Amino acid sequence: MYRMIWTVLILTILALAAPSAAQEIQLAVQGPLNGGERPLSLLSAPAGLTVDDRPLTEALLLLGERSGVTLAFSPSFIRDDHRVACDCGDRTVGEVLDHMLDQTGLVYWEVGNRVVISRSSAMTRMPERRVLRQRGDVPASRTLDVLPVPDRSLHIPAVRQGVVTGQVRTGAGRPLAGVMVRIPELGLGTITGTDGRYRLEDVPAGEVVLKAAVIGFHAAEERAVVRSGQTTVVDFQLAEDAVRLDEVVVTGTADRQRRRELGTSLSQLTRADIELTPVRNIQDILYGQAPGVLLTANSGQPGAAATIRLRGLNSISQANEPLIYVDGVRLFSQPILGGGDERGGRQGISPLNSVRPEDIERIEIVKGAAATTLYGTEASGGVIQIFTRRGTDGPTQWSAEIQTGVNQIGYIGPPGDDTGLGLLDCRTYENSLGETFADPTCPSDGNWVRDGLIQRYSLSVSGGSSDFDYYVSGNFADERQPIKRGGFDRPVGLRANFNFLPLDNLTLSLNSAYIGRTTEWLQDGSSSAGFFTNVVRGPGGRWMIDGNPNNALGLDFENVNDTNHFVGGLTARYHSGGDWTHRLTVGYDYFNTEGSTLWPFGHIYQPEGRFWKRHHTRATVTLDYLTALRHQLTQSLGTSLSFGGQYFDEDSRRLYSQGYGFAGPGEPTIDAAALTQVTTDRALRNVNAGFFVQNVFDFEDRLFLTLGVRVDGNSAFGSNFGLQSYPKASVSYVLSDHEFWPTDWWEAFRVRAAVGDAGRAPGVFDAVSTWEPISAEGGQPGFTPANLGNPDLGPERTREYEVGFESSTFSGRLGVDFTYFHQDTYDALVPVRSAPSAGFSSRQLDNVGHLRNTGFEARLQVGLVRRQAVDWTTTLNASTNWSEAIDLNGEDISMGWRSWAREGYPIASLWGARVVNANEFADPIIEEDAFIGPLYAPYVIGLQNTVRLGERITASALGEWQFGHFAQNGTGYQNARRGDGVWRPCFEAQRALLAAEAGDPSALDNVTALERVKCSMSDFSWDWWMQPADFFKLRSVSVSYDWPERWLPAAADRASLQVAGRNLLTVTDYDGVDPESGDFGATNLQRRDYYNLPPSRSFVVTLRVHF
Amino acid sequence: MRTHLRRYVQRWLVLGLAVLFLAGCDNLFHITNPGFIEADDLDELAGLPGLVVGMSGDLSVALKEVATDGSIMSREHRNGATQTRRGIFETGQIPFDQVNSYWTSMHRARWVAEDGIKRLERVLGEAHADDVLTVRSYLFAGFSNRILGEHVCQAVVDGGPPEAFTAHFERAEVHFTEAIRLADRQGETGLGFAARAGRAQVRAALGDWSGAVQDAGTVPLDYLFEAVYSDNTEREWNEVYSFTQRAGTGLTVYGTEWFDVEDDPRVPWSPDLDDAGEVRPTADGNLPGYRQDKYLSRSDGIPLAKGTDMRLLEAEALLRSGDLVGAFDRINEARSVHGLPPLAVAASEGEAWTVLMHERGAELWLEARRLWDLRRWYEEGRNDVFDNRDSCIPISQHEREGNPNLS
Repeated sequence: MYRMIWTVLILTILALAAPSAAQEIQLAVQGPLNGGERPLSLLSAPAGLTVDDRPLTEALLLLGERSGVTLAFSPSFIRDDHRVACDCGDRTVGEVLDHMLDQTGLVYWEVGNRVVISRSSAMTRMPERRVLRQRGDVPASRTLDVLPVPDRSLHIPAVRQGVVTGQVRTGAGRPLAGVMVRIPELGLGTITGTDGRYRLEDVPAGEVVLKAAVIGFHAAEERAVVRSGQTTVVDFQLAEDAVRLDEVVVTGTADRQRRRELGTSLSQLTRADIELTPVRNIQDILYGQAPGVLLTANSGQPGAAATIRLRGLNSISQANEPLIYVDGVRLFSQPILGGGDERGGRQGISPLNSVRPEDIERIEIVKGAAATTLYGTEASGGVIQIFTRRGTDGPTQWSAEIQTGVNQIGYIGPPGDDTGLGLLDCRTYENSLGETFADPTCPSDGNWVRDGLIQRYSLSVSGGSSDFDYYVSGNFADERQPIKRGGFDRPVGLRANFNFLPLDNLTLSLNSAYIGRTTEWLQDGSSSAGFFTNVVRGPGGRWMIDGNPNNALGLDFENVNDTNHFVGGLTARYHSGGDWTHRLTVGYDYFNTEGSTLWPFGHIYQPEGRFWKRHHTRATVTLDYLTALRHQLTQSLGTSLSFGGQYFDEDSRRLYSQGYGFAGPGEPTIDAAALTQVTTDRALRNVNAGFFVQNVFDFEDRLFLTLGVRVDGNSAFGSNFGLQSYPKASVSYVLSDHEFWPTDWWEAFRVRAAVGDAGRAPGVFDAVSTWEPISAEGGQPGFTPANLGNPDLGPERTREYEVGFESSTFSGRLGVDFTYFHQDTYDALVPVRSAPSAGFSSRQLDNVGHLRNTGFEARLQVGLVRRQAVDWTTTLNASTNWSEAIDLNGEDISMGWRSWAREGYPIASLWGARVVNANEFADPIIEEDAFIGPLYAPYVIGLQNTVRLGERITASALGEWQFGHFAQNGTGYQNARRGDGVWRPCFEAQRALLAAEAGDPSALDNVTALERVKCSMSDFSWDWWMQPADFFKLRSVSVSYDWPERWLPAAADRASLQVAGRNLLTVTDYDGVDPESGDFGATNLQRRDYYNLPPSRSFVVTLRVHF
Repeated sequence: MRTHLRRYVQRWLVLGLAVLFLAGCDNLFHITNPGFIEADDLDELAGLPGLVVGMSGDLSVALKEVATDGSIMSREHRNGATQTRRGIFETGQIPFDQVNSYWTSMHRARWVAEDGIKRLERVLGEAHADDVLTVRSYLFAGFSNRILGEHVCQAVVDGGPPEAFTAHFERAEVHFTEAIRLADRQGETGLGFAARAGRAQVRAALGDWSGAVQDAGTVPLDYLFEAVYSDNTEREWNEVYSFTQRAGTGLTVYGTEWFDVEDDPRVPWSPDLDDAGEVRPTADGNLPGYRQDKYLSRSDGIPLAKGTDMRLLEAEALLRSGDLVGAFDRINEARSVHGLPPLAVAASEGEAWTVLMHERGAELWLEARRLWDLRRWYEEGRNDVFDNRDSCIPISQHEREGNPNLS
């Protein structure tokens, strides 16, 4: 193994070195010096050259060879049609260069042991060039100069200079900060301040062309004449760019691409989007913000993972989580079940949420196989790329953020239940018979809820110079549950990002982050001893003493998760000249959790006490080499060739233990118990490695054709399987770049289409026939059958077709991004049942399935009002996802707890008996084994309204609809049949049913057919509790105020105050605890609302100061 | 330039392929993870003891599942938990999609033992007849088939077509016979008793009472052969204990005929009292909790064969032949083991059957034997327990889905 790693490393280093040498040959010609003695100056060396009407590039190559002097230059600076002739056998190199470069705009100078040739502008303003250097956010091929810093004393003509200044505003007249204003020909540039103003000094006199550009607006260009010693004012007014075709994105290649080049859709969330809403973690950022992204909150346990699906489910047996990359380093993306035992840990701990929102610069969401082909195996569920913040050139910048607020339980319970399922009033529980029960352990103020304090603090410092920048941050948060004696979430994070430029063409980026996190959860869910479970059950709960509930007993259990997460990566970017870039990333992701669940000594439930622990350690090594070469074949045709290889080594370990029976009270350890057991010890390693080749053909920068293929191997593939290839092809056509396009009102329009494959590997042991070691006969080692095995097992292969368009009209007032996708997952891994009577009872995965997802995604951005005083933008993100299991080898596959995959129906749908005449006042007519509906919402709509009032106030509201799906109201099912019925919506029906049983059939006159079975306490069934779960949630509302500079202390640059609320309103007909509740949450494909604490409502105030 | 471009592209492609090739040579994708054992690795001498221990473990799992949840079906317990799979035994309507766990556990125990016998013969060759592992394997194969025969409605073997459930008794008889032969050959007297007791049980089940009595008579009164349980891991726990001995029991004796039995050491139970001395309700809150005290630790074994069972089996055979005196002689012999006073000979055959059925129920209480007794007596019209109730476990949903002979 180590030999292999070293082999890869050494060869990669050689590969990096190789182009460097090659570059010298091509672009910096070198040979032995004539005469063998080095002259004092390279320029005085004899040229020894005679050329007759040759292209200048070729002539320079010959000059280098003949003179032995290294000439470094970029071919892109030389016009193809420039030819020279020179009978210069007795001239010096300097004289020949003077002759050849005459009228070319190129200059030369001697640096060390070489002569560098470049544009004259590159020499005149080097200090300003730093803002244009490659720093990870500028497309290399368009703006990057890689020439060495020149010695200004050489060959620079004296110039007269002036100043250019001005202001950049939006179309509505609002000042625009962060705009890059530059003079490309001179290599000058700067960025506007908060007032939109900029200033360029030492600009050579003469006519110049200024360009202003910033993401979100159309770039603008202005001509001006600079006069020596004078100030020239050039203002810009930028029209909003609703589709951002020139936005730079990361696509899995070394070459950052502009959105216009992609054949697929891609959603991007920026720092501004993040700061607009009150977010606690990354999943909060994603709600309703991008079409095709389905997030389900699952739980109100602090820090619990949400379920994330990009374009639905395309596997019925493997995890559907998207891949997650942070600064190019792959994370182990699947959530881990928290707590020490299922009794106390009903939710997931997500590595994704370890990345602190304060540190995020932007997030790219890559959906569907057509877009994720280059990510290969494991990418069919999509990819989420997170880019953290970096320092910028300039003085040190400090940023502090302080947030405080409260979590509240808000409204809870079915309609008519004023007790809020016993949380809001624990003095009086009532059952269907009208009997009341008082909880003697109920707090003195009569309820179990409180305002859970929220505190968040973060501090960061960033800055840099031309060859070094840094971003260092630290943060701490404490968020408490809105239940008395409830849990909390306390993350502590540190991040340090550094960029070095040891050479002009080499950038080294070091990104590292550590987060430690402690969460404590109340026991809830399917745990009969849990607090929330018993409060809701009231008199039907476990903690009945003297005929009344004593639910404080459920608060004595402790469920704690301690997490340590480190992500570190070193990325080297090497630009070897021309338009050739290389990138090597070495990354390491380490995630460790210790979940513990304690039933304390002396507790009534098990007086001797019991203690569980679950340790999970996951480590992922990333080795990622990418290279991209851009080349202009003709004036109108360019290519960008990318290829590279990736190696991912994932190591997952888990150790579960428990102790039973303690001698006394106190904080226990496992080994303090009378009986200790290690129940699980697993170490699973998986290696995925592959390579890809992709070429983008670029016709006049408006038509792009991309062809590519990726080839992967994976250690989980069967021994007979071999490698898997994933091809792709896409086209993007920017029609609005044609001259005939009416750009005066329709600024941008492009169409795109793509097809591509991506995959998902089986589990580590799925291909192997195995027996499991067990203990039996009093601790003796033994074996029992585990997995039947399948040596032909390969990955699932998702092929996706995607077409769409992006359009921006009326100065960005109306932006549309529309996509239709059609994806088929072939060779889907279907767990095929083997007969238990033949020994192996577990299902064996086989590549026999075929699944399908189709849908539309639309992002509509409307500028309703564009005034300097009021700027109102509405953004609608809508998506549909219709899934279907086309072929499951004829099997019905259980996806857990009454949810199934069945041929011809949505993947993960609910099945059961259904009351055909549900709303009739009649005896129920039952249809057995009926399709109820999909488990995951096929329709998602996010609606965000952002209003800017004047220059200082910004208000935003984000709502989300999810509909078309069903949920299992397990809470209602259990409550309705417990303690003589403690589910308020059933009270009247249950009284009527009792009356009917007592001989009064007329009592049922107003009881519907559904109520007659659903509320029955004698013939109960889950089937009647599968309900539509459509809902609207007001995810967030915020109002931000930017403080006037005059109010700020002298040291502060700017500050803002934000008042915000989260999860403020839920509108739904679903009468369970919450339509998003999910027992086992993100760790499972099944979904079931079963006594899970619902997401909290929160109000926060946030102060951000930059100084 | 184009020439250069081609050259460099070719160079990099070759280099990339070389990296992959070299990496592939180093078995990049061949990773052996610890934990599980690949099937071929069991064909080694050193692996055989573990294989047989595994047979024993799987048999214990199968037995504890039917002893725990099956006790609801046989009315030795009432259900006090919310789980659906237990609720079906309370209602007596046993759907095939709720019995996967029981079906799978019982069949795994059988298959592991029967497949293990073949593996022992393959690995040990002629020596297998002289190895005690082989005797134990035949015993486990016999008892697992007996448990299957007593609980399932239909037999299915190795993914084959359905057969009468008695096929399992017939297989068990073959296995026990071989176990007896090899135990005698090896001088394993104790194992020989277990095999003879097992064969007596299945011969009786097949209606071969004379054969059953012949075997039963060789087993001493105090002989006991148990499935082994342990505190060591949860899989090894005696689930009847672990599921009842906690606050809010999941099974209660309340509501069964055994709730009326007091001061019988064979049927010990006690109330589940809270701190106030009140009887705590069962976990589902529906019934008062009275928990069994027969098994007082997770390590307590569950009998598979015992001398007292043999005496009662002899008693039943005598009763069937009309010898009431002889039958009560055997009944009282069994009672004497527990220090219980002898019972007077019943006045009638009917009364004698009532006594016998009670005595077998008490003697074999919570040992996963009651269901079969009730089932066969129901077929003979001696009880009405299964009027409108299912008396056996149907072919499971998983078997129906995975067995091509059933679809």
